[in-house]
Amino acid sequence: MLPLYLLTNAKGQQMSIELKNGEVVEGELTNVDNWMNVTLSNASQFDNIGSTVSSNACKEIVKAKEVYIRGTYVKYIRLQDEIIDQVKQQINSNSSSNANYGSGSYRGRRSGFNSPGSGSGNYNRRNNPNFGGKRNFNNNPNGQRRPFNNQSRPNTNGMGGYVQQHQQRDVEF
Amino acid sequence: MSETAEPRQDPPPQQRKKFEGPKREAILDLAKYKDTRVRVKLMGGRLVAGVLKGYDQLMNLVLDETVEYMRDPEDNSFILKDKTRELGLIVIRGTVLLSLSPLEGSETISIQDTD
Repeated sequence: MLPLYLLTNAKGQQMSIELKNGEVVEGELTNVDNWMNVTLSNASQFDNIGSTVSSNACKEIVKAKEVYIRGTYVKYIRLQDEIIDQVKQQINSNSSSNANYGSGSYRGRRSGFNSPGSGSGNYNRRNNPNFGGKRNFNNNPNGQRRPFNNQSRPNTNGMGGYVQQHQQRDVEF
Repeated sequence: MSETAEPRQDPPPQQRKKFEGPKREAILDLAKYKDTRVRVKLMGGRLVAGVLKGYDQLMNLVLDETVEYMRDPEDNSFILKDKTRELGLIVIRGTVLLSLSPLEGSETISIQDTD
C-alpha cells in the first residue's frame, strides 16, 4: 500500500489536509500527482485571517469550488477509515483478473514469490518455459502489470516501481 | 508442456484504467481560471489575489490588478483582511506557490474566537 496509490485511488472522497502552517483544508479529492500536489473540490480552508485591523482573534473559513495545494506544503492528510479497505479491494479485484501473467512474468526472474493462490501458482509453473522464452517482452510490462507486481513483492522499492510505470505509460499513449 | 499455454492478452483498456498510479502531468486546469480572480498563497506566508493573465506548466503565474493582504506586524502568520496593498501586474514563480483557489464562487465565513 503505497501512499500515493492510496491517494490516487481515493479520488472523490472527503478528506482534510493539514498544511505546514497549521491551516486545515477540507474537501473532496479530485486529483493527485506524483509530487502529492492535490486538488480538492468544494473545499473549506480554515485560515488565520482577521477581518479588522483591531480584532486580534478571528478565524475565517473560505469555501471555494476548487483548491490546489502544493505537495511539499502538506503536513498530513486525514482520510476516512474505510478508504484503505476500499482501495485494497480495488487492488485485489484488479490483480486477480491479471494474476496469471502477472505472476508468470515475475516467476521468470525471481524466486521467493508467494503467489496469491496456489492454483494459479501451479498453472504458472507449468507454463514457465513459455514465459521464459518471452522474457524480453516480460521485462517491458505495460502499466497494468507493474503495479500488480509491486503489490505482490513487499521487498520491492515501490518508488522505482511506479516511476517506471509512468515512463512506460508515456510511451504507450 | 507449453502447449497448454493460453495466448497472452493485454487487459482491455477499461480494465487497465481501473487501478491508476499517480499522475505526472498537471492536475489543475488553469485555463478555466484565465481572466478571473484567483487567491494565491505563497511560501513565507504572503496572500495575494489577482486576475490570472497567464501561466505555464511549472505554475509560474502572471497576475494583474494584484492585491496583497497585509499581515499583522506583530504576528506575521496573522493576515489582516482589510489592510491591503496594490501590486499591479506581477509574475509569481511557481516554486513559491503553495495553494491556489478561485475567488469566483467562493464564500468566506468569519468566526469570532471567544478568547
